[in-house]
Amino acid sequence: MQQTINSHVQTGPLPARRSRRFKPGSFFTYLILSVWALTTIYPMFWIINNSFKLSNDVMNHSFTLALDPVMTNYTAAFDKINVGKSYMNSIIMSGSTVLLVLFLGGLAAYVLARFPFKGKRLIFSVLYASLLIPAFATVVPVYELLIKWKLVNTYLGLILPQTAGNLTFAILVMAGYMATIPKELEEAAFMDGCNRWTMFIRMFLPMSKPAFASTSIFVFLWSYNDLFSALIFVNKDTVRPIVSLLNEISSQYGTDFGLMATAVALTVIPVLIVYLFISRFIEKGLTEGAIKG
Amino acid sequence: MKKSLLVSALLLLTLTVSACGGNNGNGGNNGGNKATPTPSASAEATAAPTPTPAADPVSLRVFSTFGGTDPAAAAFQALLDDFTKANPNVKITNDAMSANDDSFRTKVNTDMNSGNEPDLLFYFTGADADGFVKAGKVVPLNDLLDADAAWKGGFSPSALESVRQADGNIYGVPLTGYYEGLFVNKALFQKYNVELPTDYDKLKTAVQTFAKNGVIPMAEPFDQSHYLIEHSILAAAGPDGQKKGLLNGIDPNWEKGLAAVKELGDLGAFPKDASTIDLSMASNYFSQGLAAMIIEGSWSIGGWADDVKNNTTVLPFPAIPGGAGSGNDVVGGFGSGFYLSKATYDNAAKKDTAIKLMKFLTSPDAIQKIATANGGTPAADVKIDGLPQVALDGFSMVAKSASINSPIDSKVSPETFTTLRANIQKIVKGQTTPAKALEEAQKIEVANKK
Amino acid sequence: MKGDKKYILMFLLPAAAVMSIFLYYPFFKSVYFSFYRTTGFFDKKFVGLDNYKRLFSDQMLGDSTLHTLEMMVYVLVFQVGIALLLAVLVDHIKGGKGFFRTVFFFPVVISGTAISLLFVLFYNYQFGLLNHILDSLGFEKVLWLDDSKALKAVSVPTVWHYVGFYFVLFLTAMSKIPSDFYEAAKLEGITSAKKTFLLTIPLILSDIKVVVTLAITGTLKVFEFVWVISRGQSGTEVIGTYMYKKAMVDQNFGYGSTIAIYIVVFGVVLSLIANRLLKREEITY
Repeated sequence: MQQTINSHVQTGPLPARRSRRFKPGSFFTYLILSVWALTTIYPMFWIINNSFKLSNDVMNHSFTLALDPVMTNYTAAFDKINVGKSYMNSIIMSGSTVLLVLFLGGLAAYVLARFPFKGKRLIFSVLYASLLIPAFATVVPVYELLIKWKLVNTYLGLILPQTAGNLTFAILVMAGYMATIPKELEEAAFMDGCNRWTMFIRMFLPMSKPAFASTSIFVFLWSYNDLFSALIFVNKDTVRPIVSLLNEISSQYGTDFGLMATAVALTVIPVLIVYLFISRFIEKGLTEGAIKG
Repeated sequence: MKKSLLVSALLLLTLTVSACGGNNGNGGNNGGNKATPTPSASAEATAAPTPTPAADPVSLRVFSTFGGTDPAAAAFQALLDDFTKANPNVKITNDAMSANDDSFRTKVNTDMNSGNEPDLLFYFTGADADGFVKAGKVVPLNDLLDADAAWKGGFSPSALESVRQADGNIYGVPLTGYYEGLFVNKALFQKYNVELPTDYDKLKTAVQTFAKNGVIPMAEPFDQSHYLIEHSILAAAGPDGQKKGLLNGIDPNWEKGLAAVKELGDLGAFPKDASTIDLSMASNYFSQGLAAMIIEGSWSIGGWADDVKNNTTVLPFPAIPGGAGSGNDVVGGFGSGFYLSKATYDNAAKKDTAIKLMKFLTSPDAIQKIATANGGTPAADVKIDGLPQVALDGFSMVAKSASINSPIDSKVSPETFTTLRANIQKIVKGQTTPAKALEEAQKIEVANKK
Repeated sequence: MKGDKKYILMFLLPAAAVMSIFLYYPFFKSVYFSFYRTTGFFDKKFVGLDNYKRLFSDQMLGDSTLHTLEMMVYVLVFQVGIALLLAVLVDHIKGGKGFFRTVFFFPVVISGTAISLLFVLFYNYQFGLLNHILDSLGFEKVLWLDDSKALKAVSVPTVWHYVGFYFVLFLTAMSKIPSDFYEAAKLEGITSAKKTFLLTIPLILSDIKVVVTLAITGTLKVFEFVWVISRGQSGTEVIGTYMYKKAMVDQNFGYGSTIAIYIVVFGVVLSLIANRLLKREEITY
């Protein structure tokens, strides 16, 4: 764990983002943070560790190290589902959902954040209300629509409903962020003869990077982990996403916990790797967003 | 004026959508779904074959539960492959979903109701199928069966009998069936020198002995207490009393069944964590030798650890004193079968091929292959090899039984059964009485069927 | 600005269209269902307000509402609280920022079902981790999911799962606070604790509002944890699982839809109350 207590006070001429004094209190800060970090790392480890055990061992000794790992679960999982194809499907569907949400949601958020117009409050109320619509309440009518438009078991058949379901959250978060972008910038840009469209593309998009970054992560994850919709809208093996593996594994023939752990690991690990990889960029986005003007 | 522009735009959108999406499947307020889909309503994106003479390419969609980790998934796919090999003009889409998903029923019902019927559907018979049977979405198969003696003769008569719907017709032809019973771990009974629970008193003695020795007597979960309810009520009310359901009042013997559950609970029959485990965890307790008895179905045998499996036998749930049960009534039958959708039957291009495929999938040979894979009761008179002793015990239990009954949940609406399940924990804890629980369930039943 | 109306419409319409077709229209269709008694989808009978009458006399629904509210208290206090605390702490440290930011987000990546499975194996009476520890220390095994503890036990993973989510939202919000604010504070010689309470928190209040709303609406939709860990037994039934049972298990779409509408109305009321309590002028820098 990182216990490097940095008691160095930075007072350089460089435009440090935020310089702080460090106190003995920072030891406790790191202690608290490390304890929480433990709670978040261990389950990951637990799942991966147990994916190399037989079901009985998971049941009875799930907390010992898998010293002689068995690959049975992995071979079984790969037999049950075309893992590579499913990853592709997941990436295509969840990726498109994210892009669509960012594009449609970004435009709408921009309007809601920066334009004074009547009826805005109403729109916000409607948005907050739609956060509450449970998936179970819309699944059947949506499914009927998809059947009618021949979209069942196509990529669009999952992308469109998921986009609709995630837009609310995206608009709220992005609008919240855009509302804080200084007005002067906008006025200056307007003086320069930008119209609204170019202003959006040239100014608001880059300025809102942090909001776009966090929104895209969440939307991707929700879409990726959304088993309920995947089961109903895209359950054919050619289009089903990787999350269906979880379902394939838990069948009516008792729960094989080793296999379950493997399914979870197969679902989680790629996302985790991608997340580790892009988190640096997100951080960059966050810090960039902080330096204004 | 201006402010309402946006709102009206939104409204307009919603209206257009509902206008083009609102006239199929919700026919105004008469409730009936009269919008008949076009005959060739195939949801496949593949080019629908134009109705011309046979041997043209035909694509069929089969929707079943033989997918994922179902033990018969591979055997089923092999059968489909055999068929396409023999009939190269046929393309089969094998659509499958696990039956233990609650969304499975939703999907089937929605498909059947919105012109997206699979050509062949493998689904439950009985109350589950009532909706689309009544709506005329599937074809009665009686005439087809009668016209093909070889096909009909392949089934055991009792199997065919047990898939009849309430209206007397057969819509789904059976493949493999199941039975349920009280599975007992003989090794544990020997170890503690207890007699097998062949009658209710012996069952109580066994429960007390095991409870004293820290072995779970009966691995039964409260929430998923399907089998516990089915068996206690059948053992108390007997086949006739059980068949009555709840619609026309409560048979007093039903109460005795639930009272027995309470009595067993008071003797410490159920696991301490019965309120939170599910069936698979309960089954696991039995498999690990932590529990001496479990009420389960034939499908669960395959999942148990070998040493427990080889020491297990299965008995009918003993009769509850004072009731009408014989102590030799079992729950079982052929709770599912292949349906042929009406849309396919009316589609000249597909009809014959679909029927041919259905006959192929329910031939004795196919039944034998599937039954070998999943250990179910074959719907034809075929020999299944390589089964463990307990499975053979099960078959002989069914053969010797006084009656074979479909479970209660096929006699009452799903919601009624859930209400009963939700009350089991309360009954055992004494927070409600069997009588009250049954009254509550009966109210729901009446509301559902009125 | 002139010509804005055109843009307002143009920018809002695409999102509005998608949401109308795939969210609002299906939901209104559910509203329509709520006046019917349905079995599966084939038998629809108009029953007027029967479902709504049942709603108000439904003991189970009352119980699940109370359980949901109790869980909401845990979520607001612990989930949002811990997330804010962690965000403030991470915002303060020098080294390891990126590490903690990455690691705290892990649980959010795992699907709820998988986390529930993990906790099933923690709480299991026979061979769960907790009882395993107790047993080896010579204590009596504890039934973690009995009536007195079950709801709290289910709330633990619920809270834990999404702390990282709100943490990232808070951190994003803090990142947009212009540094000159802090520069000024530094010149004043303000302590970090003071800075946090006087500057950071007020400046991200609008985001706290969004998070509180998300937390409230999220709690109303809690489903997997209860479904997998306790099956809604022992006083853990929440509105989400109750609706699922009615709509999906019992195939009673009419009543299921009625409960969905109840959830939405209930949530709107709660959000309005929360927003009223947190009412303040939004700060634009």
